[in-house]
Amino acid sequence: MIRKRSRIERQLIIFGSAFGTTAELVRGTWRSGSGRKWMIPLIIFLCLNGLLLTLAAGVEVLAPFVYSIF
Amino acid sequence: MDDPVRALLACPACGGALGSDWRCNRCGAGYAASEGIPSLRLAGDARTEAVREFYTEAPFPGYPRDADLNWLRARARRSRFARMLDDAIPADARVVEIGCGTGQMSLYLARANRIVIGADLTRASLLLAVEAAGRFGIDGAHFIETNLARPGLRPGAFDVVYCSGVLHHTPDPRKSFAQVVQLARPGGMIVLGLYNAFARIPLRLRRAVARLTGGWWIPGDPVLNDRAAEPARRDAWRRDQYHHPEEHRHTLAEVRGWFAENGVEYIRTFPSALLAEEGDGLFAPEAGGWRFEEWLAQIGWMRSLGPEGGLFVIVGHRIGA
Repeated sequence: MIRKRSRIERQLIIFGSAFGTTAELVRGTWRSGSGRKWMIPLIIFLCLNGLLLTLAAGVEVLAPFVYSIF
Repeated sequence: MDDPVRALLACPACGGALGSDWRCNRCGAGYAASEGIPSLRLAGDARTEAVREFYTEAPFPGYPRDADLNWLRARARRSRFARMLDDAIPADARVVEIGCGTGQMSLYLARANRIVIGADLTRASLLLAVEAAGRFGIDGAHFIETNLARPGLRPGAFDVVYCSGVLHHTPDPRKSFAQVVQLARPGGMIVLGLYNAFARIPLRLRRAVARLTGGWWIPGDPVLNDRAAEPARRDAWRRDQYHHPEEHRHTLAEVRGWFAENGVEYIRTFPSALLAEEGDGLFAPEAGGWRFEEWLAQIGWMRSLGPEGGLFVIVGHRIGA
């Protein structure tokens, strides 16, 4: 039986693996010799943004009615 | 107005007790009370007066034409926040709502043996509140006209101080918060609703589009759509959200700072500032304080709270009991 993980667990797994994946991508680009080293800051920026958005998506979407209750 | 209710009020000029003729027992100042609303308001500064005139023109949020007690309860029960607030307040609590507007939340909370006082700057709004209280048969809610800068309320008299959607419309929200705290008894709860700096971004974008099109197009406002059949309430929402003369926005960290300055212990926020978790009770302390997680939660509020203006609630209790 496949155990279903909670949302926070899934996000922690993404969080934990994201840095390794980003580092591998940066290392590969650095070693490739294809003259694309200039892309490294962009890769880091985009990966961190992706991580941020993934975590922010973990916030429960409530029906509103906090301000417009009545 | 009964004596137990009058005992919760005070002279806005000196803080003295008020007699049955609405005269201050200490300084002798007299106040008028007509149409069931004591006027304990001293003149405010120009910015506060501008806000008062703004709401006098269009009381907010107003009532649908056929509103009755069932309507009020149905509207409140669809809101998880309103249910949690009602469940958390003891049946015999003394509650004050600062900036009650047209009084819906005060009327909703005025059940069992609670004494609820709704205070507002704008008489036009309070008249609608008093009229609704009579129509709904609610006698546990009382309304007063007062200015938060010099409130006609006895300091330290209330078990729960509820103030939502108000401080961000005052000239100095931090200073106003200090006034709000004074009203709670030591150990009393403070429930504060404010525009969040992140969650408000979607509305600010909609507002920018509205301004660029001269108000002709306001994209994707679900509250406006919901009120399509109620022109007066639709217009009140449009004015409040898109044309308000005074508006501030705040982060959770900033408000936590206000709490620390004023001897208020942080309890929790609504929605929760913890990722993927939602505590059970509104007055139940929630772990947290990891700054990074709170920032992420606030970014997430753009999606959950953004559609209705980005107001979040922060709860604390006054230290001292």
